[in-house]
Amino acid sequence: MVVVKLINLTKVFGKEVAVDNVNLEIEHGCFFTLLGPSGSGKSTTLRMIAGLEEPTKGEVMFDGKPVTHLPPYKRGVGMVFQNYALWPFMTVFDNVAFGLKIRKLPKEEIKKRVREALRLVQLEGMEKKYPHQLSGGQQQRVALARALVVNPKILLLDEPLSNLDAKLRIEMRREIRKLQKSLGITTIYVTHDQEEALAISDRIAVMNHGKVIATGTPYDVYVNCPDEFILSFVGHTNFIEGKVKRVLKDGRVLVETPLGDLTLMNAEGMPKKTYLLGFRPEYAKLTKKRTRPNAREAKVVVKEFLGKFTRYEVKVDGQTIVVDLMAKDDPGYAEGDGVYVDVDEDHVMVIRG
Amino acid sequence: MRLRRNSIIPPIFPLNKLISHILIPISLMTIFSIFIVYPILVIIAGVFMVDGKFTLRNLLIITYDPMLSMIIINTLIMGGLVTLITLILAVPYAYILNRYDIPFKSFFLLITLLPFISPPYVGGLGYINMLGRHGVISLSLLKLRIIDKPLDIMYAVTPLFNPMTGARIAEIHWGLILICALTYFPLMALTFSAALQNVDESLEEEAYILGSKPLTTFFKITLKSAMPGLISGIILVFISFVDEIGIPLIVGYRNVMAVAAYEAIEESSFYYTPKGYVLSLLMTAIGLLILFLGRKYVSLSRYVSVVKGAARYRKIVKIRGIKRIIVMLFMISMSILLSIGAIGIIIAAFAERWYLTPLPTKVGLKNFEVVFEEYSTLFRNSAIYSVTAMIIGMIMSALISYIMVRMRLSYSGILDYILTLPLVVPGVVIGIGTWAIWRGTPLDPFVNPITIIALVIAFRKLPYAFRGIYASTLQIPPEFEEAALTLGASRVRTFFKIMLPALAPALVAGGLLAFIAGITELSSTLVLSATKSAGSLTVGIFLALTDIRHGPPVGSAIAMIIIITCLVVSYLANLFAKKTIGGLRLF
Repeated sequence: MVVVKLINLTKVFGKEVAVDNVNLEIEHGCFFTLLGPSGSGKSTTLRMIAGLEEPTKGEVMFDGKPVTHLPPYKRGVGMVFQNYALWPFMTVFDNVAFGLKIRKLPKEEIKKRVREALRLVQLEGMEKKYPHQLSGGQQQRVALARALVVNPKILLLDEPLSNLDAKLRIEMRREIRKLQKSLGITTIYVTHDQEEALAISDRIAVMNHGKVIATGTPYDVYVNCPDEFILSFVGHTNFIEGKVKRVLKDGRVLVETPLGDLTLMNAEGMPKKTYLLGFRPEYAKLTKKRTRPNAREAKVVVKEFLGKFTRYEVKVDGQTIVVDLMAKDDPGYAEGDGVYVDVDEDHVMVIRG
Repeated sequence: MRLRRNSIIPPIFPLNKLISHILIPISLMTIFSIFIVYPILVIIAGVFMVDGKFTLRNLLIITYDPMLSMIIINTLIMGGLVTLITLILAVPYAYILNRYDIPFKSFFLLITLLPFISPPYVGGLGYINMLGRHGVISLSLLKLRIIDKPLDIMYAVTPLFNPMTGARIAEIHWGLILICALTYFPLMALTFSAALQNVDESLEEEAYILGSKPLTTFFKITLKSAMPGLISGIILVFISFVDEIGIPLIVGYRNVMAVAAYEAIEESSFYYTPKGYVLSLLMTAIGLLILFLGRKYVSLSRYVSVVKGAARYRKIVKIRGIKRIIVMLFMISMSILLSIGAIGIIIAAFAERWYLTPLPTKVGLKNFEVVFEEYSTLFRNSAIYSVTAMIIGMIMSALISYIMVRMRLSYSGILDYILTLPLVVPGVVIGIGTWAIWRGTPLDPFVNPITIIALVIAFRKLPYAFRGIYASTLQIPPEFEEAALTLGASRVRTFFKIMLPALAPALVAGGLLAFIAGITELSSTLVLSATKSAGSLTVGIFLALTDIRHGPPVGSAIAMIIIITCLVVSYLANLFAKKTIGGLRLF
């Protein structure tokens, strides 16, 4: 069942098109993430779903009914903001109880539901504290409880973890995911952190310059998406140019690149002479000896030890190539060493001609 | 993204948008304009329209009335001198207070605030008590036979002549300049001090590292960075002098614009004279011209950025040896100069018998008794005026700040302009214009002065409440309201349940500042009603001085009551200001 549907959604601020003709369908119970760099229009899209911005054009539908011109207080969504937006002059209890008081529920029920919501986010007994007496993680939980206590149809999260430190961020994203699954609440999550998006989502929509570039599962987006922007924004991708030398008997093609001749699957209709190829840093090795014909020698320019693996940046033909070597595959090169990049042919993507 | 966040509470239906974006702002500004803009228009019309016809005849009186042109030149020259003196004194004073490690800092700061929270001509009264012909210092020196004639510095006048014709074209009244410079000193010192605190320290450090000497660094980096604050201080001091009516009346010098306009209008209740209108028009023109030139610096938003940004950690420079002695000598002599007025007030307020002796021969509380018996109506009036100023200041500031900060109004620049007017248009002008508008109506200042005075004071003192409340509104994240909206609260409920509580400390602090500004107001009240039945406590000082039975001692007692009230209220205001979001500081 489709819960949220965006049809040709567009927002223009002055001359700048912030959101450009976005079409999305979000299924019931889905953890959906809008992923994009800052200024890509993801927050504006979320705010239009919440009713905090009015679309210049297009429709927002909840359960098949248009809500485009409904004010936020009539939409029944819950929202968590990047800065949590906890009201500093109210206790934790009053913050969480606000939505229930607006709904004029009986006092006893308000008490019960606030307690329940705080238990859900593991903040029992914090009712009387003020926001400034809480840690960042605790404030985040209060914001979550406040959004959830009114039983919203849809939960909207606008970069909720960006103010937390790295470790807490991972802990909280697991908790949010667990909570979402146990409540079965349709959730739309905005983030610029691709790792977070991959880890937390059922589906991801990648946005850039106000447009949705691709939608799919995290796996689809990371592995099966030969789009230049996504490849470089979600993780890192090396781009190289390849010239087709000839078509082999088995139908594969031999392509000449600065990293040597590669035998690639013949993507349908590869009639052109040159192509843009891409591969992820983890799909290559560095060798002392030339393993591929016509490979040009590369020079190690940067070496970064990152714990699980070492990231090498090598210069070949005036171009920088990033290669991640797991500790077991790393012979330990030094900056300035001459090496050859041995790329795994199975993981070279043909991006465009 | 960030920028846009600070925008608006959408979506807004066409009808609601009409109400929230047009009707409410326009009606707020209309109410404000009735008391601030309309009087100015009436003055302009009064000069250029005679018997329903446009004429320049009235303006020509400047050319054939040498007295009038002298009054104008006097005001400009003395205004310039006063500004220059405060500038020379306040810049080092504020710098020392901010940057040097010296003892008794909070004492020096308190002394600086003293004239600031006193009614405008309280200082004058105190200085006359001390430095006047029959003041404490003059009589002491006479008694000690150090001088053989009474001290004349408060009344010394230097005439300026036209070198071609030999005609007297202007006068410089040194007593007036001295008292005004000391009275406005805090205005300059505090504005500059706030600006100094906003100067990025790393800029200075960078200059030192690059080999710049301290004095060069001060002029090239510090002073340049603090320039907006300095210019806004210059503007405020100059405008204050143009508007000054109390101090010239006290020293008995009438050849300045505000006094001349006031006296002309007092006469014109019996016969028509365009002099008051022409002077008012010129004062307005000076104010508007300065507002236009210094627009960048006196705009309310700029004012705000000067006011906020306080409690930042600063490196304090340690000074030793001869330098320390010089600095301390300067600070001590400045604080003596600044407190002479207050001391004069205190001595006179308790003096029961004081006739041509250095100090009173009998002290007691008789003056206060006289105040409570004969001037009791003034307490009621001042309470009405100040409380009205406080309430209107709080309500209008909250609404206008909200509109200016939260709505994308195409005309918010104009709103800012109009709201700055009370800072630059002299109170005498507003008073005269208001007087002309309401004559013959149910709110005629002759018949029912209290209502109209209360409203005029409230709207004239609005900027004092507004600046802090506006700054605080800017600091409140829009997400506070957005969160409430998504939780089901309507826009109106969100304003009352979220915005007002978040603003509460700033509202109280701003309201109290408007209260102080209201209680110390003089010029427009004096024009509208210089009587015991409708006058404020400040007018009371003037009345006591002109009453042969009372004179300076009773006037001083009233002044002391005002100062103490203001001290208490400003202490409270600061308490609340500390609680505002973003920790706004008032002075």
